[in-house]
Amino acid sequence: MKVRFSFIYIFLFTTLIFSSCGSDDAEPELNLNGRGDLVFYFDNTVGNELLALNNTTYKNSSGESFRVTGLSYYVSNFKLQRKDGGEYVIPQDSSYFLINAADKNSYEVRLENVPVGDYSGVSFVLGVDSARTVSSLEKRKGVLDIAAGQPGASMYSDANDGYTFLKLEGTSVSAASGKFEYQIKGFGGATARTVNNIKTINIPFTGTIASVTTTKSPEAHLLINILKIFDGSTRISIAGLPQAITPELTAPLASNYTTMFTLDHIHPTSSAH
Amino acid sequence: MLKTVKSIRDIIQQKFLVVPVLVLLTGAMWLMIMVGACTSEETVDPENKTPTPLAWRKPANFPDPVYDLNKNPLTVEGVELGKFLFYDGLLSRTNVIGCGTCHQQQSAFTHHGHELSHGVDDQLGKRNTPSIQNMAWNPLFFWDGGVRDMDFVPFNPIENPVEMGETVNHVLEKLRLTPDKSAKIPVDYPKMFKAAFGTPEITTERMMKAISQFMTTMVSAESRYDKFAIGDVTALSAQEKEGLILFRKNCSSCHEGELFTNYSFRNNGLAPLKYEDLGRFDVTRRESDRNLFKVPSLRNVSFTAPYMHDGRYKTLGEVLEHYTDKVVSSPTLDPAFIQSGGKTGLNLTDDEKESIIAFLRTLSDDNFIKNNAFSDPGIGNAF
Repeated sequence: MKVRFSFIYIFLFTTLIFSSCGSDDAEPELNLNGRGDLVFYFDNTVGNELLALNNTTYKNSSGESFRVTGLSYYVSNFKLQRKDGGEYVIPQDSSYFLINAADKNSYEVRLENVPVGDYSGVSFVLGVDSARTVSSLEKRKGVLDIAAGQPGASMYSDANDGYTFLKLEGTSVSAASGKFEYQIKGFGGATARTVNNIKTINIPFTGTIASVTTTKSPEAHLLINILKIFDGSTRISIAGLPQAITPELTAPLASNYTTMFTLDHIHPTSSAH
Repeated sequence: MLKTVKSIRDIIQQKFLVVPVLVLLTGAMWLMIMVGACTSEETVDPENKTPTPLAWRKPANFPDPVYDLNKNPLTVEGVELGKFLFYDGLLSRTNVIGCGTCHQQQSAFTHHGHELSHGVDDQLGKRNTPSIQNMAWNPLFFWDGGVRDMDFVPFNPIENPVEMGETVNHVLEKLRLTPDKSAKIPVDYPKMFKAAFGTPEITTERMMKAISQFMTTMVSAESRYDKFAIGDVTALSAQEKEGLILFRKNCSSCHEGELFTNYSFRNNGLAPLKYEDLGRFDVTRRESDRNLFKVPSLRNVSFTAPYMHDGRYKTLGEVLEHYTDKVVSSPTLDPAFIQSGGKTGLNLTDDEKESIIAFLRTLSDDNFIKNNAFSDPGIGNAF
């Protein structure tokens, strides 16, 4: 009995050391209460066509021809609506994503460790919330790194304008310079008040559900129609607004773009496209 | 990890059934191995020294700093890394322009003789290089206050197309590829990052924090005025004391306190130039901020010529003459420059102006501009 006690003692002690030693490996929950992934795939479109950068000419509702040379936008602060009425909020630090039309890998937003269950909708912020925008460098990892973005295409501007929520750049004969550039931003300002262009997008999974299990990660396929940026509550023409990079100037674009997301379908399991 | 523990348990259990004494021995052995495995990375490897904390002291006559040192504790290795990054041309697109190229120590980290400074490809900036000193007290940075956290300051000059013309991303990539054997001094940045932060990983956060650490140490508080301020009444001459009294009466509503600025934004009545610089308006887009610029500290002002956001005045005499005779009225002109009769500017005699200038020269800190701790370690380019 005494020996058995020593053995247990040693075993517990070794386990203790092991767990303290390995705490950096971050295995907080071993999916014991049933968790899985829910994936969103952001497919950028222009009207009914998939967006192709650089070489395809499109037309907006003002009848202006244009080509797109760059499109990137943040989606953050994901919340999932449960079919039974509850809500699951993705942990803040894992809830920032940057979609870049030039990088297919960025189209997939994988929400990890979501509790098993049936989900009936999603909401997210198009852009970056104000709290994170004024936070210190330690809170700006990954896509929030102020150096994030391709060379010359950084999404961070400065303390008062914060991050660009959505950047759309292209060419058009309707613009005097031949180019148009929209950097939709504005979180309310840090040192001086600006327009607040933070928009929350709500997408109900009408007529369908996303069932997360420990083995199946459903994938919701979203279509993002960038024509809506020109055509929502205010019709924007490239000739009239070839460049808008301040919160004030981009406010009508931000009002328009809340309508550009629609749910296309949900795969029961995530797979190739 | 858990799998390993299970197998240990299996081993121990088997032994337990056979020879109980062996159980204890095996357990103890495992314990030792595991404790060793756990700590060896920190203690055994001589390459893995923890960074040496650096004590930082607030000058006796200064207020508390704004920068949160708890989030970025100074270390000897962190400050050293920050100094190398500060002077290294790698931070620019052409690998030539470092921070120290325009922020030169002998001019209290401004660009002497340059109204505006030249960046990559000799392009001219639009504003006079501000001094880098006492940064930890600064609530807002740059002439227009566009940045409010010191850790974000280097981002602006690095990504400004006419200053360093680079991207922070690319700077990080270049730093990761060091040492470059063809460099004047082949600095091994992964090694320096490891010394400063424990691992050789080079990230935005670490790079910015190292530069902030160095800039935090760049404190100027050893001028003759400071000796006077902490009790040595003989440190200033009669004329300088007279100048101090006049300064407090006429200038200290903006150049306030021991840092000689209240960090506010003001329009001090400079006549418009061909290219209008909107100043603070660029950041806030408020009409009331049109042509406002940050009140600069006057510490080391005798070293930091030329003066004003556009470097238009070469001497302190010209600056004082501006305030008495050249203040131009405009909708945002600071009320401090509007007299009761509607005349603009300050009322000062020539003698009074001379006394004020004599006082301003007592803000010179020779130790600050000569201290080797802040000097180029041999990697910089100054033009």
